[in-house]
Amino acid sequence: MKPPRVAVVDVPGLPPERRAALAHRLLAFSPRVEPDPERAGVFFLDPSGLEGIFGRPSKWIRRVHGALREEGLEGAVVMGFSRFPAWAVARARGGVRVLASPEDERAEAREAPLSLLELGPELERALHKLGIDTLGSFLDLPRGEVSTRFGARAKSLHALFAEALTPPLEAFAEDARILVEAELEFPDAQVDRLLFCLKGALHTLLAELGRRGLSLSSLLVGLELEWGEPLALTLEPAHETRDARVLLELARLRLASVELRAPVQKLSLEAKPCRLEGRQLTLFDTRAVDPLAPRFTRTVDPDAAARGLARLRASFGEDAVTRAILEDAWLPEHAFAWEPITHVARPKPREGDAPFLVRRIHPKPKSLPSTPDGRPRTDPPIVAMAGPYRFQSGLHREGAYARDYFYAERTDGSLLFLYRDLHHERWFLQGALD
Amino acid sequence: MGYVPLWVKTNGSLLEGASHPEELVDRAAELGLPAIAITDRDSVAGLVRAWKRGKERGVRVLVGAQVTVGEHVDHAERLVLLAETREGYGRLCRLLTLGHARMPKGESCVTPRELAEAAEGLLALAPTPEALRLAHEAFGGRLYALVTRHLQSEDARLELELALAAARLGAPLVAGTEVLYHERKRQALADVLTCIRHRVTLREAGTRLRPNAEHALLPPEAMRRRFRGLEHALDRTHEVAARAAFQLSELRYRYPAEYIPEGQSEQSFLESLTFEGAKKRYGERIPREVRAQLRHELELIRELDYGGYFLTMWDVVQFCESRGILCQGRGSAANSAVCYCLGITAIDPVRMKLLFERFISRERAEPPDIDLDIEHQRREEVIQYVYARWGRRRAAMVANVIRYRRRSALRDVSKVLELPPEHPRVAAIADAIEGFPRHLSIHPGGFLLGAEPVDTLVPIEPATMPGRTVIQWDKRDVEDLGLFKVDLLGLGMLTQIHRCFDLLRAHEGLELSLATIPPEDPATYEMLSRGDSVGVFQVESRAQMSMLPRLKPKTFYDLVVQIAIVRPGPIQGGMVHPYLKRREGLEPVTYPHPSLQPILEKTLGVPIFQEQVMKLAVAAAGYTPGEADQLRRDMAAWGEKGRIEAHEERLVSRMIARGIPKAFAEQVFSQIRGFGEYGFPESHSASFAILSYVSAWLKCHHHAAFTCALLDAWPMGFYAPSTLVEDAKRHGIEVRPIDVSHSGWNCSLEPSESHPPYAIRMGLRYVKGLGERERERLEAAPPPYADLADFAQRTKLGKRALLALAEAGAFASFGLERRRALWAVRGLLANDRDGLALAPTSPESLPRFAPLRREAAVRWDYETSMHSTHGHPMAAIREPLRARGIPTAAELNAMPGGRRLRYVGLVICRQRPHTARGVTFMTLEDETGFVNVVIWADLYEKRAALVHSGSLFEVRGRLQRAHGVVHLVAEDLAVPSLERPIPRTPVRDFH
Repeated sequence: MKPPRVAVVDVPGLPPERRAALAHRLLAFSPRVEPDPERAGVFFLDPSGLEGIFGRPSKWIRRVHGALREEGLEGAVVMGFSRFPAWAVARARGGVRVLASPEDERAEAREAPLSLLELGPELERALHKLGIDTLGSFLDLPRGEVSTRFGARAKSLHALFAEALTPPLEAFAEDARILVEAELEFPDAQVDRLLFCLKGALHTLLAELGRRGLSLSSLLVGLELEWGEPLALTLEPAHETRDARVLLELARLRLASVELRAPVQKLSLEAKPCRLEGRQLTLFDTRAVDPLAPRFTRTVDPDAAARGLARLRASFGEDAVTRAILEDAWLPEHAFAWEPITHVARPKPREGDAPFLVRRIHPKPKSLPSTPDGRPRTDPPIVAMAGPYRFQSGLHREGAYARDYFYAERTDGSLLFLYRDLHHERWFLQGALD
Repeated sequence: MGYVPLWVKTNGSLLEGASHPEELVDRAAELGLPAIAITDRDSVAGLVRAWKRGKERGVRVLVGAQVTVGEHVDHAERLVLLAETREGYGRLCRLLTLGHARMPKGESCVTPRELAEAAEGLLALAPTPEALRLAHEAFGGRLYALVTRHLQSEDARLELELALAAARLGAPLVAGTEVLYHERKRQALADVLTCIRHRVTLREAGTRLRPNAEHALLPPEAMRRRFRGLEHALDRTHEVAARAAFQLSELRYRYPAEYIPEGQSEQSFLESLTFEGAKKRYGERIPREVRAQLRHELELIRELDYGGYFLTMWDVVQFCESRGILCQGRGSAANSAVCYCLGITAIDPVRMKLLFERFISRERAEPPDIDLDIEHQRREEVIQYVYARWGRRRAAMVANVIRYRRRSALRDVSKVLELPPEHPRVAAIADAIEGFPRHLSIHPGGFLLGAEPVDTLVPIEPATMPGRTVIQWDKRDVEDLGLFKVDLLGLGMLTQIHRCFDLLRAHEGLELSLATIPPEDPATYEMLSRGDSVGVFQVESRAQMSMLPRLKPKTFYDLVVQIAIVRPGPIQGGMVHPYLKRREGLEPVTYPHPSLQPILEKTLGVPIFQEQVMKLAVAAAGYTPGEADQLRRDMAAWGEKGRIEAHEERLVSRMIARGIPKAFAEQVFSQIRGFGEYGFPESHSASFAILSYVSAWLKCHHHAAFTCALLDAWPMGFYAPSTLVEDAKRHGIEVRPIDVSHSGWNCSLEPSESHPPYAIRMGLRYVKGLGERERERLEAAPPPYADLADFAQRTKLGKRALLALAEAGAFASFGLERRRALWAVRGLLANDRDGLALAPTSPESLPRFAPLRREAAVRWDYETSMHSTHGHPMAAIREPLRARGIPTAAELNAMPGGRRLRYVGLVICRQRPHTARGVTFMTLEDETGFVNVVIWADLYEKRAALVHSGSLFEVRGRLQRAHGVVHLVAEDLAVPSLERPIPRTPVRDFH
């Protein structure tokens, strides 16, 4: 029996996001694993020299198949002589097989239905129309004619399946995950001690980033508890950084705000890497603004606000800092909304703007009593009213409404913005003007 | 003191106004308002209906429109224009025509210069300072500043600015609101319409919606309160109303008829043409009764001044004749001897004793309405002739207003509210929106022609179809105003008949015309009486085929009845069975009342035709001619709820009062209701019967030419090409496959050794993927071809077309079966890229592929060309079916009634007529013929999904045989399990 030269693992329908993990897993069975670039669930393995570890090829492929099962995956493992013919056998027959000879491999591969071999719908349909439904009948077509009629890809497939193209296996590259884990000597819930452990892991992580010439845009801190569900905290600095102090500060604030249901026994740090931009050289400027320094020595730090916001978000959550934006709606309380922000823009006042009244809207309208003649009662009392301006709808998502709005001037000169609810016949204070 | 609302938009302002014109006028009447302006957005769409209701309610309708004005539509102003005079109104229409012509469909914008040129005879109301400045110079003393108050915060500022501008420009103030609906409750509907117009949900709409419901018609006292401090401006609305004096009733319309020979008048020309035509029809000695009838009609035509209309119709028919285009007038025009003599219609009304007054009468005071059926493939030539002859300004097509129906209303409202269609809120708004206009389409073939430009009568808009323009009024508006309309309709059967005549001339030297087809041919009636009517005009449907063996037509008039009887009118009225029984002598011919005998004699005492029903209303229920005419219109407006129902109590009670049995009276009303949807006047049925007889005669005596012509005229008729081909094959006609060396674009006849002497060669047009471009290339490079390479090089067809032809087997004459042809075509295409001459393709040089099995060939045929000449799909599974004891259609139809059996066939027709009370009818086909399947309501409920979606059925049921008609009454349905799939055939679904 000619020694087998290639094994193929075929997992039809493998989700792309699991590819990398499966490739990693397969490394346990061969140092050379080549994921097929076009087919998410197809991997070619070099089985040579592994008898000493795994025994006979049939044992080896059963171990590989077992690993798939452990991952909850259904697939086939075939050991053969050429990548694509072996894959054709795997796809057509399934299960685990060791093919006895290249001739056997060829014979079985020829019977594989083309419909299983992911040729692409157009090529498959065109071949089906010609009555070419198996790999064998496809390979019987002259390759040059296949090329002229069906294009370069069809020719390439023809060549691959006919073993005309046998490039060497290309082992896959490591993925870019940057992950450091650290176990605590004793499970602990004290923030300071957790920070101490985190600091060491962070140092390792930042060194790896530095080695790769990368920075991080966020840091995922995983806390494995002694019991209960693990926690995952995301720290987002104001901008990309490798500054340990900034990160530790954020970690401290976050850990202080988190309630640990159990002591932490292991923590992990995973960086979301990003390129290091020129601007970010200032990240390594260790000059901080010293809050105790005399006023005249303080410089305006454009990033201070951003850092401050980052600390607030770290302490109180991602939505802690918001700003108002206008919404297109008639009802005053619907005419604006709040959106989270991460940066503060410098105000840019327009030239020549006259002063104007600002209308402040209460988050919730306040009920007002009425006078005997049905007008709103306030203290100080109202002396003049302008309106009504009517807002009315029978279709609003929060229910039908009908309101007559007024501006009211009080004896002390203050201006109110109030309305009469026409359905309930009551007065409400919506806001004030100043 | 009341006021006059001057800025009012109906739902003719598409997707903006939230009330029908009638509702606004009714509300104005309830509020005691003396007048109301109708000012739709860049349109006069709502005017006619408002005007008509205004006449009934005593409310004067001021005529105008809200016009969009600006150099650019993004910065345009709105101006309300009201017509003082007829000329002013004409200018308004012309102005809106200009505005629409430059904008995308449904939009309009006129320039300030155009506005200025149109200003004479119009009043302008400007709701903003910018609009006031824009209109000031052009309108001068005819300009008003329109102050509006809608309880919005912007009102005060706008009012101040407008008042200041008005004072500077010397324009008086007039007060009003922008009315969008007749009552506040319609705000929700207005909001939904706004969302639909902007294609947003309610949640997304924001300030696109109006902030409140202050756009309703308000009572005078409420308006007084609203415009406190501006009472004088409110009172001024009366002054404006008095100045806007033009009324729609002033529209006088002359029909174009300027091509009259010198020395003749319109009437004398018409008379000379009529009597010339009478000689052609009747010979030199025109029968006395015909002369009398012609004089009677011509006198009435002269009195009513309709001569120009007839001359114009004659002109169009002459054009058709000169170009060899078959045409025929239909409808009530067939009641006219003048139309018959002018060659407009083909029915002799004197012989058939048809009533001219059904067409024109003094009492009706309506212009004539002639529908002209034209060969559908040549209708466009006639339309372009009309445009060329009368010009784009004097000829425009009538609108067809597409209105919300229940389903579309639920769908659109549901989307806006983001609620399921079943939600009560959705249903409530959908109820209100049903019947609202959605958009304007073109009435198929309806033209408004005028001696003066049509755009001084009504604005003309570009239609979506290039080269077409459409007026803003629909057929009903045109009729209500008494305007002349011509309907030029496409009829596939005329195309087919023409083609058939051409084929017979070319192949057999026969010269045939509609007039020279031998009448009353017994063989033809025998064929029809067997139900052998696939492809025959008007009598080929499943229902007609079931009726033919019962009615057994033997004369032309029997055919006239046959066509009219299978309609909702007679069916709902329960008249069908009594007629058939009396015809078979199973029951005596009686009349519910002696006065009804003259009306019902022709149809054995049973009302079948629309005119009979109307005559019954007059004779039996004492309807005046005017009431009878209103009944006719209400029957025609069946889509509008309540109109027919309004007659029920009056008709039934009056009939009973005259001694007519209640059951008959109720039957008659039921028939009236059914007639509304689809009932035939006798003349209409007679016109169709001519074509029906001709097509039946052709099928009977020249089946090959008949089918060939039908396939060339397709799409038309009831059946798919595959059924027509199978029917021809069952009649012993050879049908030859598509082949590039033998087929033309159209189907053709080829000599055949077998009987009949001609075979049909299928045409290249049936290959899917081949269109006009391919047709041109094929016709530019006709056969013979040396081989495939020669064909490809000469025709220069693209890849898709060549592959389609290969797959359809069209290269068989090159010795290439389909798979090798596909291979060869691909090779040619690749080689063609290098620009060198293509090497000849010999079959020997190609690889061998597995031959296509017969059932696969049939499947490929259906997939590529909708039919097969190689066999029927069912033939592929006949053996296993036979093994299960399942008969063919031919065997089943020969079996005695009462038997229980199973049958398997492909569905070609599914119908569930609303007159059938939940019963579904299916026609299944196999290689030997059809089986009619009846599915009762309870089985339908159980198997609804299958009934709707299946293509191949196994039916278990009981055979029913009666009056020569066989039905399989289904007890259960299933999809048979097959080893191999068979192709789906095209299905006529639920028409």
